[in-house]
Amino acid sequence: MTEIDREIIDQARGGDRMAQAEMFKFYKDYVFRSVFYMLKSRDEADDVTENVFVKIFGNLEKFDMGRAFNPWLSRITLNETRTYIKKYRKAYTNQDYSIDQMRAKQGASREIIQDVNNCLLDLTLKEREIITLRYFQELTIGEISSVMNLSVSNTKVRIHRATKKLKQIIQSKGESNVSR
Amino acid sequence: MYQDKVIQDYLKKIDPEHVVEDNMLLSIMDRIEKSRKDYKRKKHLLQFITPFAVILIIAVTSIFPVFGSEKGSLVDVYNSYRVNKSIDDLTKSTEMMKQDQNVRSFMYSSLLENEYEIDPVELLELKYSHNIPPKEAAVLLLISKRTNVPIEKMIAMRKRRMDWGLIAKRSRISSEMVISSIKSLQKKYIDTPKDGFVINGRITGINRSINCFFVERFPYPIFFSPNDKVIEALRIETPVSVELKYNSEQVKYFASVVHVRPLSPNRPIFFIGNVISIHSDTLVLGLINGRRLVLKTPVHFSKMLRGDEHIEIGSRMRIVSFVNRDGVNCMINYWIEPDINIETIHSKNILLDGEKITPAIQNNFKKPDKEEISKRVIEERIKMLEKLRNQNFNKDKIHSSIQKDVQKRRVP
Repeated sequence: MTEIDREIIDQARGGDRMAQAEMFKFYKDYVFRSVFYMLKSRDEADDVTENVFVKIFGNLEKFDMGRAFNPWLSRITLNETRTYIKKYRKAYTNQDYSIDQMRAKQGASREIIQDVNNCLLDLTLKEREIITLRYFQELTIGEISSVMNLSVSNTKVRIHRATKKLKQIIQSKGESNVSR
Repeated sequence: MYQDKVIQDYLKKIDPEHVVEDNMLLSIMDRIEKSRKDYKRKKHLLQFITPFAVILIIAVTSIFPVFGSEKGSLVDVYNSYRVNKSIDDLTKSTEMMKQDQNVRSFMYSSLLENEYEIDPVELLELKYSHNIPPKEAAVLLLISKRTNVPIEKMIAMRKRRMDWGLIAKRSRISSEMVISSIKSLQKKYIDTPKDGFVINGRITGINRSINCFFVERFPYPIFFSPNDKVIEALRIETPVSVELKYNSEQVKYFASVVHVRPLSPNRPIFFIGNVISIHSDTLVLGLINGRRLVLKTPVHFSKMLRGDEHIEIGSRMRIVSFVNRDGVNCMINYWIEPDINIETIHSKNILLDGEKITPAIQNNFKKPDKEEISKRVIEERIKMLEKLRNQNFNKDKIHSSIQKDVQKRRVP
């Protein structure tokens, strides 16, 4: 994902509403999708996206203009998602939650049933986080390690494992047309 | 990579079928505005509440001993802090002196003795009997003398870990007075001329050939000017009061005035003798003059003597002791004495006129091992002979004769 113009960030830092609106427009889908990949719930992803932007605009003056914006945004997104899970989904935080467990806990909501075939749900939360950062947000290994507070080698190992697992799931679910 | 591409394509395929609405921005802005207002309101409220809370806390803690029975109220804690700070300042100012530690402690104890009539024995007793650090002991004695509060009462409070502020309060003395006493001691110590001060003690050694003598506890030789014949009148064991002048060019202490003066029998004294027996709290020493001396030893010394140091019976030791109020001889410090007649002072050898001198040179007697002693004996003697004889001699011959001498002296 390309970064927004630095000038807009600078204006938004100064409290310019127009610049902030432009930033929101530029990043809203990016943030929403990232959260959605991790939570797999549109309503929850909506809530978290709102929280992420409140956090971003509230703390934009603390952002170091000498650094890349996307990893900073990713860190906030990740932290807000984790906070949300801790707050509202305590039951799932300490285990790998599958679609069946979600069904049992939350009731079979429309969107979950719709996503039954979604292979991402068979990954653990940490695996989904790392897949989102690597393949959707397209962060570098170094950026991911700094966002997730991991060492570079540990990050590489985790990416490798998560990718391998996702590939296996995709294949086993018969989505061979994707994997080929 | 191919695999990366596959997963990226897969992620793109997942469609949340949802668009983030633009009116979310309005809700975001509302929330930011609200949180800013909340923050401002809280800040405003805290600005009013905080001073009242602080005043209330100070008032309550100043009246009631909320910090426990050892620290008292806030006022007592603050006073303790100030007293402790002035004690620290005193310690720092004594440590910042250029003189070495032995001279510094000598200057300090001389000042306490001459200006405040605090006997060094009293300090030593507080240190060894009650385990009170010397600087604190000096302050306790100083306050006790100034206020007539019995020292025992103050020691009892201090041993109960009571802080200075509370001690001052219980003794009905102002902490200001305590601080001013410490400050005046510090000032007097700083104002003491560093190149000239008075020392009291007994003469422990005389070298008439180079016109110098030693006073107990003072670590350096004290010289007279070359033509001064006063030294002829001095004798070992004579109690003297010496006005010293330090000559920085010659790096020597010179005696400007020497008074013979009576000394308290309780003063710290040096002894040299052989160990006869070591017990749990006593040590029996056989002195050179044939007398036996029984010394009370602090517990940690006894442990060292019998354990870590493992002093053998018959070993020669240099001991500094004092006679306490009960008339018991108490050991303050000790050094293992090498069985040789050479003393090393400032890396120079001083050969006496057949006399054995005993300057307190703690650093030079830091438990040398037997090999080191033998090596030092050989080196020192060769140097000495070279210097004194000032004539041709066979170095190898002397070396081998000394080597034999050392072999004989070696303890198996």
